[in-house]
Amino acid sequence: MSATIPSKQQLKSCKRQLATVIDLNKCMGCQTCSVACKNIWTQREGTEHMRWASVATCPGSGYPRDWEKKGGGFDAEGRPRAGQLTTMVDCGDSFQFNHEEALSPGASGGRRLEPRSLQGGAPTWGYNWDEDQGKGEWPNPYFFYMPRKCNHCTNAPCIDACSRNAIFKREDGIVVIDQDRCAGHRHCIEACPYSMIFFNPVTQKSEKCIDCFPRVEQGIAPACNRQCVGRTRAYGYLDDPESQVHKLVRKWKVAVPLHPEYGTEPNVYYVPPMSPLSFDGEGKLTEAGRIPIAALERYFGPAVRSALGTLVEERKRRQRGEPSELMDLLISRRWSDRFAEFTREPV
Amino acid sequence: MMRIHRVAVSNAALLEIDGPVWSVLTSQSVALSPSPVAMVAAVSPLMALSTKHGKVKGLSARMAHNGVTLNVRISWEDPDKDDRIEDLDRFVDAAAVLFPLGEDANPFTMGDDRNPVNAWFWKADREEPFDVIARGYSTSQRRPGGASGLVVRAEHRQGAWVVVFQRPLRPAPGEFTHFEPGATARVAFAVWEGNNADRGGQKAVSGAFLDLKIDS
Repeated sequence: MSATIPSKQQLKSCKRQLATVIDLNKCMGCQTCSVACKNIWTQREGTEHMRWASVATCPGSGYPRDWEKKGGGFDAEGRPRAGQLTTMVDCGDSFQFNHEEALSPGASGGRRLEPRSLQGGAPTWGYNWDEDQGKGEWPNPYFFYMPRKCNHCTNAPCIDACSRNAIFKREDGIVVIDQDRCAGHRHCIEACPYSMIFFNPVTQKSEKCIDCFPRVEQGIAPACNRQCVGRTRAYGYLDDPESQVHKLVRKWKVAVPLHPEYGTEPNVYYVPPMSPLSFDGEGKLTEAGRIPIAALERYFGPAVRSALGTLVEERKRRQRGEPSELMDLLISRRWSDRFAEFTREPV
Repeated sequence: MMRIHRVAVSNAALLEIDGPVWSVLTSQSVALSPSPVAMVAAVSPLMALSTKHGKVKGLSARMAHNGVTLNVRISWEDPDKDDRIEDLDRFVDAAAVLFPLGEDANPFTMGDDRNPVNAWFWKADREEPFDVIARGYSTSQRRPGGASGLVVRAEHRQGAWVVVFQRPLRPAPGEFTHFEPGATARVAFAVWEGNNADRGGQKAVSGAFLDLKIDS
Protein backbone atom coordinates (compact mmCIF):
# COMPACT_ATOMS: atom_id res chain seq x y z
CA MET A 1 0.00 0.00 0.00
CA SER A 2 1.26 3.43 -0.90
CA ALA A 3 2.38 5.74 1.89
CA THR A 4 0.05 8.42 0.53
CA ILE A 5 -3.08 6.28 0.75
CA PRO A 6 -4.67 6.21 4.23
CA SER A 7 -5.61 2.82 5.65
CA LYS A 8 -9.25 2.04 6.39
CA GLN A 9 -8.30 1.84 10.07
CA GLN A 10 -6.96 5.40 9.92
CA LEU A 11 -10.16 6.58 8.24
CA LYS A 12 -12.24 4.90 10.95
CA SER A 13 -10.27 6.21 13.91
CA CYS A 14 -11.65 8.97 16.16
CA LYS A 15 -10.80 10.49 19.52
CA ARG A 16 -14.29 10.30 21.03
CA GLN A 17 -17.66 9.02 19.90
CA LEU A 18 -20.85 11.02 19.81
CA ALA A 19 -24.00 8.95 20.20
CA THR A 20 -27.77 9.30 20.14
CA VAL A 21 -30.21 7.40 22.36
CA ILE A 22 -33.88 7.19 21.33
CA ASP A 23 -36.56 6.01 23.77
CA LEU A 24 -39.07 4.03 21.70
CA ASN A 25 -41.54 4.06 24.59
CA LYS A 26 -42.01 7.77 24.05
CA CYS A 27 -41.76 8.10 20.26
CA MET A 28 -45.23 8.84 18.88
CA GLY A 29 -44.27 8.93 15.20
CA CYS A 30 -44.97 12.65 14.83
CA GLN A 31 -42.14 13.07 12.28
CA THR A 32 -40.90 16.31 13.81
CA CYS A 33 -37.36 14.89 13.63
CA SER A 34 -37.76 14.04 9.92
CA VAL A 35 -39.17 17.47 9.12
CA ALA A 36 -36.52 19.29 11.17
CA CYS A 37 -33.83 17.46 9.23
CA LYS A 38 -35.46 17.90 5.84
CA ASN A 39 -35.90 21.63 6.35
CA ILE A 40 -32.21 22.05 7.08
CA TRP A 41 -30.43 19.56 4.83
CA THR A 42 -32.46 18.05 2.00
CA GLN A 43 -34.37 20.77 0.23
CA ARG A 44 -31.71 21.08 -2.47
CA GLU A 45 -32.24 19.91 -6.03
CA GLY A 46 -31.59 16.17 -6.24
CA THR A 47 -32.34 15.56 -2.56
CA GLU A 48 -36.14 15.55 -2.75
CA HIS A 49 -36.38 11.80 -2.16
CA MET A 50 -33.94 11.78 0.76
CA ARG A 51 -34.82 11.60 4.43
CA TRP A 52 -31.59 11.58 6.40
CA ALA A 53 -33.86 11.30 9.46
CA SER A 54 -37.00 9.21 9.19
CA VAL A 55 -39.63 7.42 11.25
CA ALA A 56 -41.35 4.23 10.08
CA THR A 57 -43.75 1.78 11.65
CA CYS A 58 -42.33 -1.50 12.97
CA PRO A 59 -42.96 -4.19 11.96
CA GLY A 60 -43.18 -2.92 8.41
CA SER A 61 -41.22 -2.47 5.23
CA GLY A 62 -39.42 0.51 6.81
CA TYR A 63 -37.59 3.36 5.19
CA PRO A 64 -36.11 3.03 2.64
CA ARG A 65 -38.46 0.25 1.56
CA ASP A 66 -37.28 -3.22 2.62
CA TRP A 67 -33.93 -1.89 3.83
CA GLU A 68 -33.45 -4.90 6.09
CA LYS A 69 -33.49 -7.18 3.04
CA LYS A 70 -30.85 -5.31 1.05
CA GLY A 71 -27.70 -6.87 2.52
CA GLY A 72 -24.52 -4.99 3.36
CA GLY A 73 -22.67 -4.87 6.66
CA PHE A 74 -20.47 -7.76 7.75
CA ASP A 75 -20.95 -11.48 8.20
CA ALA A 76 -20.17 -13.32 11.44
CA GLU A 77 -16.50 -13.56 10.43
CA GLY A 78 -16.26 -9.83 9.76
CA ARG A 79 -16.19 -10.15 5.97
CA PRO A 80 -18.19 -7.58 3.99
CA ARG A 81 -21.56 -8.75 2.69
CA ALA A 82 -22.75 -7.75 -0.77
CA GLY A 83 -25.69 -5.34 -0.77
CA GLN A 84 -28.23 -3.73 -3.06
CA LEU A 85 -28.84 -0.17 -4.14
CA THR A 86 -32.05 1.65 -3.32
CA THR A 87 -34.30 3.16 -5.99
CA MET A 88 -36.10 6.51 -6.10
CA VAL A 89 -39.34 4.81 -5.08
CA ASP A 90 -37.62 2.82 -2.29
CA CYS A 91 -36.39 6.15 -0.93
CA GLY A 92 -39.94 7.42 -0.68
CA ASP A 93 -40.29 9.04 -4.10
CA SER A 94 -41.23 12.71 -4.21
CA PHE A 95 -44.79 13.06 -5.33
CA GLN A 96 -45.71 15.98 -7.54
CA PHE A 97 -49.27 17.23 -7.76
CA ASN A 98 -51.21 18.51 -10.80
CA HIS A 99 -51.87 21.89 -9.22
CA GLU A 100 -52.11 23.74 -12.55
CA GLU A 101 -54.54 21.26 -14.01
CA ALA A 102 -56.79 20.98 -10.97
CA LEU A 103 -56.63 24.33 -9.21
CA SER A 104 -55.86 27.20 -11.58
CA PRO A 105 -58.80 29.52 -12.31
CA GLY A 106 -58.89 28.62 -15.98
CA ALA A 107 -58.62 24.89 -15.43
CA SER A 108 -61.28 22.74 -16.97
CA GLY A 109 -63.58 21.21 -14.37
CA GLY A 110 -63.57 17.64 -13.22
CA ARG A 111 -59.85 17.18 -12.66
CA ARG A 112 -58.99 16.06 -9.15
CA LEU A 113 -55.77 16.86 -7.39
CA GLU A 114 -53.68 13.73 -7.86
CA PRO A 115 -50.15 12.76 -6.83
CA ARG A 116 -47.71 11.61 -9.47
CA SER A 117 -44.59 9.58 -8.91
CA LEU A 118 -41.26 11.17 -9.86
CA GLN A 119 -40.88 8.08 -12.06
CA GLY A 120 -44.23 8.84 -13.77
CA GLY A 121 -47.71 7.46 -13.17
CA ALA A 122 -49.61 7.01 -9.95
CA PRO A 123 -47.52 6.32 -6.85
CA THR A 124 -47.18 2.65 -5.89
CA TRP A 125 -45.19 3.22 -2.72
CA GLY A 126 -44.09 6.16 -0.65
CA TYR A 127 -42.74 7.33 2.67
CA ASN A 128 -44.76 5.80 5.51
CA TRP A 129 -46.90 3.86 3.02
CA ASP A 130 -47.60 1.19 5.67
CA GLU A 131 -47.90 3.57 8.63
CA ASP A 132 -49.52 2.06 11.76
CA GLN A 133 -50.32 -1.26 10.07
CA GLY A 134 -48.00 -3.29 12.29
CA LYS A 135 -48.74 -6.93 13.03
CA GLY A 136 -50.70 -9.22 15.32
CA GLU A 137 -54.35 -10.30 15.54
CA TRP A 138 -57.20 -8.60 17.38
CA PRO A 139 -57.35 -8.11 20.32
CA ASN A 140 -53.54 -8.01 20.42
CA PRO A 141 -52.30 -6.04 17.45
CA TYR A 142 -49.00 -4.24 17.94
CA PHE A 143 -46.61 -1.80 16.40
CA PHE A 144 -44.02 0.72 17.47
CA TYR A 145 -42.23 3.55 15.73
CA MET A 146 -38.65 3.32 14.55
CA PRO A 147 -36.92 6.68 14.12
CA ARG A 148 -33.68 6.30 12.21
CA LYS A 149 -30.69 8.22 10.93
CA CYS A 150 -27.09 7.35 10.07
CA ASN A 151 -25.64 5.29 12.92
CA HIS A 152 -22.17 6.84 12.59
CA CYS A 153 -20.88 3.31 13.09
CA THR A 154 -17.62 2.57 14.85
CA ASN A 155 -16.89 -0.11 12.25
CA ALA A 156 -18.49 1.80 9.39
CA PRO A 157 -18.81 -0.45 6.32
CA CYS A 158 -19.27 2.59 4.07
CA ILE A 159 -15.69 3.64 4.89
CA ASP A 160 -14.42 0.19 3.89
CA ALA A 161 -16.48 0.14 0.72
CA CYS A 162 -15.58 3.54 -0.71
CA SER A 163 -13.09 2.92 -3.47
CA ARG A 164 -12.04 6.60 -3.41
CA ASN A 165 -11.48 6.84 0.36
CA ALA A 166 -13.98 9.69 0.40
CA ILE A 167 -15.63 8.62 3.66
CA PHE A 168 -14.05 9.07 7.07
CA LYS A 169 -14.76 9.55 10.74
CA ARG A 170 -14.19 12.97 12.27
CA GLU A 171 -12.42 13.23 15.63
CA ASP A 172 -15.84 13.33 17.31
CA GLY A 173 -16.91 10.07 15.66
CA ILE A 174 -19.28 11.60 13.08
CA VAL A 175 -18.98 9.81 9.72
CA VAL A 176 -18.95 12.15 6.72
CA ILE A 177 -18.64 11.83 2.94
CA ASP A 178 -16.17 14.25 1.36
CA GLN A 179 -18.26 15.63 -1.49
CA ASP A 180 -15.14 16.62 -3.42
CA ARG A 181 -13.77 13.06 -3.34
CA CYS A 182 -17.09 11.26 -3.91
CA ALA A 183 -17.53 10.10 -7.51
CA GLY A 184 -20.99 8.62 -7.05
CA HIS A 185 -19.93 4.99 -7.45
CA ARG A 186 -22.41 4.06 -4.68
CA HIS A 187 -20.44 1.19 -3.13
CA CYS A 188 -21.19 2.87 0.22
CA ILE A 189 -24.93 2.56 -0.39
CA GLU A 190 -24.55 -1.15 -1.11
CA ALA A 191 -22.35 -1.55 1.98
CA CYS A 192 -24.63 0.25 4.46
CA PRO A 193 -26.92 -2.43 5.92
CA TYR A 194 -29.15 0.35 7.26
CA SER A 195 -29.60 1.92 3.77
CA MET A 196 -28.93 5.33 5.30
CA ILE A 197 -26.86 6.68 2.40
CA PHE A 198 -28.66 8.30 -0.53
CA PHE A 199 -27.62 9.05 -4.09
CA ASN A 200 -28.13 12.57 -5.42
CA PRO A 201 -28.75 12.17 -9.17
CA VAL A 202 -28.15 15.89 -9.79
CA THR A 203 -24.71 16.20 -8.20
CA GLN A 204 -24.07 12.49 -8.88
CA LYS A 205 -22.68 12.06 -5.39
CA SER A 206 -23.77 10.12 -2.34
CA GLU A 207 -25.08 11.94 0.71
CA LYS A 208 -26.08 11.08 4.24
CA CYS A 209 -26.80 12.41 7.71
CA ILE A 210 -23.89 14.54 8.92
CA ASP A 211 -25.18 14.52 12.53
CA CYS A 212 -25.64 18.29 12.07
CA PHE A 213 -21.91 18.77 12.70
CA PRO A 214 -22.02 22.53 12.04
CA ARG A 215 -24.51 22.77 14.94
CA VAL A 216 -22.61 20.30 17.11
CA GLU A 217 -19.44 22.36 16.70
CA GLN A 218 -21.39 25.29 18.17
CA GLY A 219 -22.67 23.26 21.13
CA ILE A 220 -26.13 22.75 19.60
CA ALA A 221 -27.61 19.23 19.46
CA PRO A 222 -28.49 17.78 16.03
CA ALA A 223 -31.87 19.03 14.80
CA CYS A 224 -33.59 15.62 14.94
CA ASN A 225 -32.63 15.27 18.60
CA ARG A 226 -33.15 18.88 19.65
CA GLN A 227 -36.53 19.31 17.98
CA CYS A 228 -38.07 16.08 19.28
CA VAL A 229 -41.22 17.19 21.08
CA GLY A 230 -41.54 13.93 22.97
CA ARG A 231 -38.17 14.24 24.73
CA THR A 232 -37.33 10.81 23.40
CA ARG A 233 -33.73 11.62 22.50
CA ALA A 234 -30.43 12.02 24.29
CA TYR A 235 -27.14 13.11 22.74
CA GLY A 236 -23.57 13.34 23.88
CA TYR A 237 -20.22 11.60 24.12
CA LEU A 238 -20.38 7.94 25.06
CA ASP A 239 -17.30 8.31 27.28
CA ASP A 240 -18.73 11.27 29.22
CA PRO A 241 -19.93 9.71 32.51
CA GLU A 242 -22.24 12.68 33.12
CA SER A 243 -24.05 12.34 29.80
CA GLN A 244 -27.41 10.62 29.51
CA VAL A 245 -26.14 8.57 26.59
CA HIS A 246 -23.38 7.16 28.78
CA LYS A 247 -25.78 6.45 31.63
CA LEU A 248 -28.40 4.77 29.43
CA VAL A 249 -25.99 2.80 27.24
CA ARG A 250 -23.04 2.00 29.49
CA LYS A 251 -24.27 2.29 33.08
CA TRP A 252 -27.88 1.08 32.94
CA LYS A 253 -27.51 -0.88 29.68
CA VAL A 254 -31.13 -0.19 28.71
CA ALA A 255 -30.30 1.34 25.31
CA VAL A 256 -29.29 -1.17 22.65
CA PRO A 257 -28.24 -0.83 19.01
CA LEU A 258 -30.45 -1.78 16.09
CA HIS A 259 -29.39 -5.01 14.34
CA PRO A 260 -26.07 -5.51 16.15
CA GLU A 261 -25.61 -8.66 14.07
CA TYR A 262 -24.74 -6.46 11.08
CA GLY A 263 -21.34 -6.05 12.74
CA THR A 264 -21.00 -2.29 12.23
CA GLU A 265 -21.13 -1.21 15.90
CA PRO A 266 -23.75 1.50 15.41
CA ASN A 267 -23.85 4.59 17.63
CA VAL A 268 -27.58 5.20 17.66
CA TYR A 269 -29.09 3.28 20.58
CA TYR A 270 -32.71 2.49 21.35
CA VAL A 271 -34.55 2.06 24.62
CA PRO A 272 -36.78 -0.84 23.49
CA PRO A 273 -40.58 -0.62 23.67
CA MET A 274 -42.00 -2.14 26.85
CA SER A 275 -45.20 -3.12 25.08
CA PRO A 276 -48.80 -2.87 26.32
CA LEU A 277 -50.11 -6.01 28.01
CA SER A 278 -52.00 -8.53 25.91
CA PHE A 279 -55.52 -9.85 26.36
CA ASP A 280 -56.40 -13.52 26.70
CA GLY A 281 -59.29 -15.25 24.91
CA GLU A 282 -61.68 -14.08 27.61
CA GLY A 283 -60.71 -10.47 27.11
CA LYS A 284 -58.76 -10.31 30.37
CA LEU A 285 -55.35 -8.65 30.66
CA THR A 286 -52.41 -11.01 31.01
CA GLU A 287 -48.87 -10.41 32.21
CA ALA A 288 -47.43 -10.94 28.70
CA GLY A 289 -46.48 -8.02 26.50
CA ARG A 290 -48.17 -7.68 23.13
CA ILE A 291 -44.94 -7.36 21.19
CA PRO A 292 -43.43 -10.86 21.04
CA ILE A 293 -39.97 -10.85 22.59
CA ALA A 294 -38.76 -12.76 19.52
CA ALA A 295 -39.82 -9.81 17.35
CA LEU A 296 -37.83 -7.41 19.51
CA GLU A 297 -34.82 -9.74 19.49
CA ARG A 298 -34.96 -9.75 15.72
CA TYR A 299 -34.44 -5.97 15.78
CA PHE A 300 -32.16 -5.48 18.77
CA GLY A 301 -30.44 -8.80 19.37
CA PRO A 302 -30.41 -10.83 22.60
CA ALA A 303 -29.40 -7.83 24.77
CA VAL A 304 -32.97 -6.54 24.48
CA ARG A 305 -34.13 -9.09 27.10
CA SER A 306 -32.00 -7.76 29.93
CA ALA A 307 -32.68 -4.17 28.85
CA LEU A 308 -36.43 -4.77 29.10
CA GLY A 309 -35.94 -6.64 32.38
CA THR A 310 -34.16 -3.63 33.90
CA LEU A 311 -36.80 -1.23 32.60
CA VAL A 312 -39.67 -3.26 34.05
CA GLU A 313 -37.90 -3.69 37.37
CA GLU A 314 -37.11 0.02 37.72
CA ARG A 315 -40.63 0.99 36.77
CA LYS A 316 -41.99 -1.29 39.49
CA ARG A 317 -39.54 0.23 41.95
CA ARG A 318 -40.92 3.65 41.13
CA GLN A 319 -44.49 2.39 41.36
CA ARG A 320 -43.67 1.29 44.92
CA GLY A 321 -42.68 4.87 45.64
CA GLU A 322 -38.96 4.17 45.73
CA PRO A 323 -36.41 6.35 43.91
CA SER A 324 -35.12 5.25 40.50
CA GLU A 325 -32.30 7.08 38.74
CA LEU A 326 -33.21 5.30 35.51
CA MET A 327 -36.85 6.44 35.55
CA ASP A 328 -35.70 9.99 36.31
CA LEU A 329 -33.32 9.84 33.38
CA LEU A 330 -36.03 8.64 31.02
CA ILE A 331 -38.51 11.25 32.25
CA SER A 332 -36.00 14.13 31.84
CA ARG A 333 -37.85 16.90 33.62
CA ARG A 334 -35.64 19.49 31.93
CA TRP A 335 -34.99 19.09 28.23
CA SER A 336 -31.43 20.25 28.71
CA ASP A 337 -30.67 17.19 30.86
CA ARG A 338 -30.68 15.09 27.71
CA PHE A 339 -28.01 16.79 25.64
CA ALA A 340 -24.89 17.03 27.85
CA GLU A 341 -22.88 20.05 26.63
CA PHE A 342 -24.96 20.42 23.45
CA THR A 343 -27.66 22.65 24.94
CA ARG A 344 -27.09 25.97 23.18
CA GLU A 345 -30.08 27.46 21.38
CA PRO A 346 -29.97 27.11 17.58
CA VAL A 347 -31.10 30.70 17.01
CA MET B 1 2.86 -2.88 -31.54
CA MET B 2 -0.05 -0.48 -32.08
CA ARG B 3 0.50 2.50 -34.32
CA ILE B 4 -0.42 6.17 -34.18
CA HIS B 5 -0.64 7.21 -37.81
CA ARG B 6 0.53 10.60 -39.02
CA VAL B 7 -2.17 12.27 -41.09
CA ALA B 8 -2.39 15.61 -42.84
CA VAL B 9 -5.85 16.46 -41.59
CA SER B 10 -7.19 19.31 -39.46
CA ASN B 11 -8.15 18.91 -35.82
CA ALA B 12 -11.77 19.57 -36.74
CA ALA B 13 -11.78 16.79 -39.33
CA LEU B 14 -10.19 14.36 -36.88
CA LEU B 15 -12.95 15.06 -34.37
CA GLU B 16 -15.60 13.95 -36.88
CA ILE B 17 -16.66 10.47 -35.86
CA ASP B 18 -17.38 9.53 -39.49
CA GLY B 19 -14.67 11.71 -41.02
CA PRO B 20 -13.05 10.15 -44.11
CA VAL B 21 -9.67 10.00 -42.35
CA TRP B 22 -10.90 7.30 -39.99
CA SER B 23 -12.08 4.96 -42.73
CA VAL B 24 -8.64 4.72 -44.30
CA LEU B 25 -6.80 3.88 -41.06
CA THR B 26 -6.58 0.24 -40.06
CA SER B 27 -8.47 -0.63 -36.93
CA GLN B 28 -6.73 -2.55 -34.21
CA SER B 29 -8.64 -4.96 -31.99
CA VAL B 30 -8.10 -4.82 -28.26
CA ALA B 31 -9.43 -7.60 -26.04
CA LEU B 32 -10.97 -6.55 -22.74
CA SER B 33 -11.54 -8.58 -19.60
CA PRO B 34 -13.01 -7.89 -16.15
CA SER B 35 -10.67 -5.79 -14.00
CA PRO B 36 -8.90 -7.83 -11.30
CA VAL B 37 -10.72 -6.25 -8.36
CA ALA B 38 -9.06 -8.62 -5.86
CA MET B 39 -5.86 -6.61 -6.40
CA VAL B 40 -7.44 -3.58 -4.75
CA ALA B 41 -9.26 -5.37 -1.93
CA ALA B 42 -7.42 -3.24 0.65
CA VAL B 43 -9.07 -0.14 -0.78
CA SER B 44 -12.51 -1.67 -1.34
CA PRO B 45 -13.07 -5.12 0.14
CA LEU B 46 -16.71 -4.84 -0.89
CA MET B 47 -15.87 -4.24 -4.55
CA ALA B 48 -13.46 -7.17 -4.40
CA LEU B 49 -16.56 -9.40 -4.07
CA SER B 50 -17.79 -8.33 -7.51
CA THR B 51 -17.95 -11.11 -10.07
CA LYS B 52 -20.24 -9.64 -12.71
CA HIS B 53 -18.40 -6.49 -13.77
CA GLY B 54 -16.51 -5.86 -17.00
CA LYS B 55 -19.07 -7.19 -19.45
CA VAL B 56 -17.61 -5.65 -22.63
CA LYS B 57 -15.27 -8.14 -24.32
CA GLY B 58 -13.32 -5.93 -26.68
CA LEU B 59 -13.03 -2.71 -28.63
CA SER B 60 -11.49 -1.56 -31.87
CA ALA B 61 -9.12 1.39 -31.87
CA ARG B 62 -7.80 3.75 -34.50
CA MET B 63 -5.20 6.35 -33.60
CA ALA B 64 -3.81 9.32 -35.50
CA HIS B 65 -1.91 12.56 -34.99
CA ASN B 66 -1.40 15.57 -37.23
CA GLY B 67 1.66 16.99 -35.51
CA VAL B 68 -0.56 19.02 -33.16
CA THR B 69 -3.12 16.71 -31.59
CA LEU B 70 -3.30 13.03 -30.68
CA ASN B 71 -6.61 11.43 -31.62
CA VAL B 72 -7.95 8.12 -30.36
CA ARG B 73 -11.12 6.69 -31.90
CA ILE B 74 -12.53 3.66 -30.13
CA SER B 75 -15.72 1.71 -30.75
CA TRP B 76 -17.34 -1.24 -29.06
CA GLU B 77 -20.60 -3.15 -29.19
CA ASP B 78 -23.16 -2.09 -26.63
CA PRO B 79 -26.81 -2.79 -27.38
CA ASP B 80 -28.03 -0.60 -24.48
CA LYS B 81 -27.37 3.10 -24.63
CA ASP B 82 -27.03 4.24 -21.01
CA ASP B 83 -26.45 7.96 -21.21
CA ARG B 84 -28.70 9.09 -18.37
CA ILE B 85 -29.09 8.08 -14.72
CA GLU B 86 -32.76 7.09 -14.88
CA ASP B 87 -32.96 5.91 -11.29
CA LEU B 88 -30.76 5.78 -8.22
CA ASP B 89 -29.58 2.26 -9.08
CA ARG B 90 -28.63 3.06 -12.69
CA PHE B 91 -25.20 3.88 -14.14
CA VAL B 92 -24.01 5.39 -17.41
CA ASP B 93 -21.66 3.97 -20.04
CA ALA B 94 -18.10 5.26 -20.00
CA ALA B 95 -14.66 4.66 -21.49
CA ALA B 96 -11.11 5.71 -20.80
CA VAL B 97 -7.68 5.73 -22.42
CA LEU B 98 -4.83 5.40 -19.94
CA PHE B 99 -1.20 6.47 -20.32
CA PRO B 100 1.69 5.96 -17.87
CA LEU B 101 3.46 9.01 -16.48
CA GLY B 102 6.03 6.89 -14.62
CA GLU B 103 8.20 4.11 -16.07
CA ASP B 104 6.87 1.35 -13.84
CA ALA B 105 3.24 2.35 -13.67
CA ASN B 106 0.80 -0.53 -13.27
CA PRO B 107 -2.48 0.09 -15.08
CA PHE B 108 -4.41 -2.32 -12.83
CA THR B 109 -3.65 -0.26 -9.72
CA MET B 110 -3.86 3.12 -11.47
CA GLY B 111 -0.13 3.58 -10.90
CA ASP B 112 1.39 4.29 -7.50
CA ASP B 113 2.87 7.25 -5.65
CA ARG B 114 6.11 7.17 -7.67
CA ASN B 115 4.53 6.15 -10.98
CA PRO B 116 1.42 8.21 -11.75
CA VAL B 117 -0.95 7.51 -14.61
CA ASN B 118 -2.95 9.91 -16.78
CA ALA B 119 -6.39 8.93 -18.11
CA TRP B 120 -8.72 10.46 -20.63
CA PHE B 121 -12.14 9.64 -19.24
CA TRP B 122 -15.45 9.96 -21.06
CA LYS B 123 -18.89 9.48 -19.47
CA ALA B 124 -21.96 9.13 -21.67
CA ASP B 125 -23.95 11.76 -19.77
CA ARG B 126 -21.33 14.50 -20.10
CA GLU B 127 -20.18 16.58 -23.04
CA GLU B 128 -16.83 17.40 -21.46
CA PRO B 129 -14.42 14.58 -20.64
CA PHE B 130 -12.21 14.43 -17.56
CA ASP B 131 -8.43 14.43 -17.68
CA VAL B 132 -7.58 12.19 -14.75
CA ILE B 133 -4.37 11.96 -12.74
CA ALA B 134 -3.87 9.05 -10.34
CA ARG B 135 -1.12 7.87 -8.02
CA GLY B 136 -2.51 4.52 -7.07
CA TYR B 137 -5.95 3.12 -6.65
CA SER B 138 -8.39 5.45 -4.83
CA THR B 139 -6.29 8.57 -5.52
CA SER B 140 -7.60 9.55 -8.95
CA GLN B 141 -8.45 13.21 -9.44
CA ARG B 142 -10.81 14.27 -12.18
CA ARG B 143 -9.65 17.47 -13.80
CA PRO B 144 -11.84 19.18 -16.42
CA GLY B 145 -10.85 18.27 -19.96
CA GLY B 146 -10.16 21.95 -20.58
CA ALA B 147 -7.11 21.76 -18.31
CA SER B 148 -5.19 19.88 -20.98
CA GLY B 149 -7.27 20.75 -24.04
CA LEU B 150 -8.90 17.31 -24.06
CA VAL B 151 -12.14 17.12 -26.03
CA VAL B 152 -14.40 14.22 -26.97
CA ARG B 153 -17.12 13.32 -29.45
CA ALA B 154 -19.35 10.31 -28.94
CA GLU B 155 -22.26 8.66 -30.68
CA HIS B 156 -24.29 5.53 -30.12
CA ARG B 157 -25.66 3.92 -33.26
CA GLN B 158 -26.50 0.45 -34.51
CA GLY B 159 -25.82 -1.11 -31.12
CA ALA B 160 -22.34 0.35 -30.70
CA TRP B 161 -20.58 3.32 -29.17
CA VAL B 162 -18.04 5.32 -31.15
CA VAL B 163 -15.91 7.77 -29.16
CA VAL B 164 -13.15 10.08 -30.42
CA PHE B 165 -10.74 11.66 -27.92
CA GLN B 166 -8.54 14.55 -29.04
CA ARG B 167 -5.81 16.28 -27.03
CA PRO B 168 -2.72 18.33 -27.93
CA LEU B 169 0.42 16.20 -28.24
CA ARG B 170 2.21 18.67 -25.98
CA PRO B 171 -0.32 20.17 -23.56
CA ALA B 172 0.32 23.03 -21.17
CA PRO B 173 2.52 22.21 -18.17
CA GLY B 174 0.84 19.95 -15.66
CA GLU B 175 0.68 16.27 -15.07
CA PHE B 176 -0.38 15.32 -18.59
CA THR B 177 1.24 12.78 -20.87
CA HIS B 178 3.38 14.33 -23.64
CA PHE B 179 3.78 12.64 -27.01
CA GLU B 180 6.60 13.13 -29.52
CA PRO B 181 6.29 12.12 -33.17
CA GLY B 182 8.81 9.38 -33.90
CA ALA B 183 8.88 8.17 -30.30
CA THR B 184 7.09 5.32 -28.59
CA ALA B 185 4.44 5.40 -25.88
CA ARG B 186 2.20 3.01 -24.01
CA VAL B 187 -1.57 2.81 -23.64
CA ALA B 188 -4.33 0.87 -21.92
CA PHE B 189 -8.11 0.97 -22.37
CA ALA B 190 -11.13 0.59 -20.13
CA VAL B 191 -14.87 0.39 -20.83
CA TRP B 192 -17.73 0.63 -18.34
CA GLU B 193 -21.13 -0.88 -19.24
CA GLY B 194 -23.68 1.21 -17.35
CA ASN B 195 -26.39 -1.40 -17.69
CA ASN B 196 -24.08 -3.84 -15.87
CA ALA B 197 -23.55 -1.39 -12.96
CA ASP B 198 -19.90 -0.98 -14.02
CA ARG B 199 -18.31 2.04 -12.34
CA GLY B 200 -15.03 3.00 -10.75
CA GLY B 201 -12.81 -0.05 -10.45
CA GLN B 202 -15.56 -2.34 -11.76
CA LYS B 203 -14.81 -2.17 -15.47
CA ALA B 204 -13.48 -4.09 -18.48
CA VAL B 205 -9.76 -3.46 -19.03
CA SER B 206 -7.20 -4.21 -21.71
CA GLY B 207 -4.58 -5.56 -19.30
CA ALA B 208 -0.91 -4.55 -19.21
CA PHE B 209 0.11 -1.40 -21.10
CA LEU B 210 0.27 -1.91 -24.89
CA ASP B 211 3.20 -0.46 -26.82
CA LEU B 212 2.53 2.37 -29.25
CA LYS B 213 4.65 3.61 -32.15
CA ILE B 214 4.06 7.28 -32.99
CA ASP B 215 4.72 8.05 -36.67
CA SER B 216 7.20 10.88 -37.19
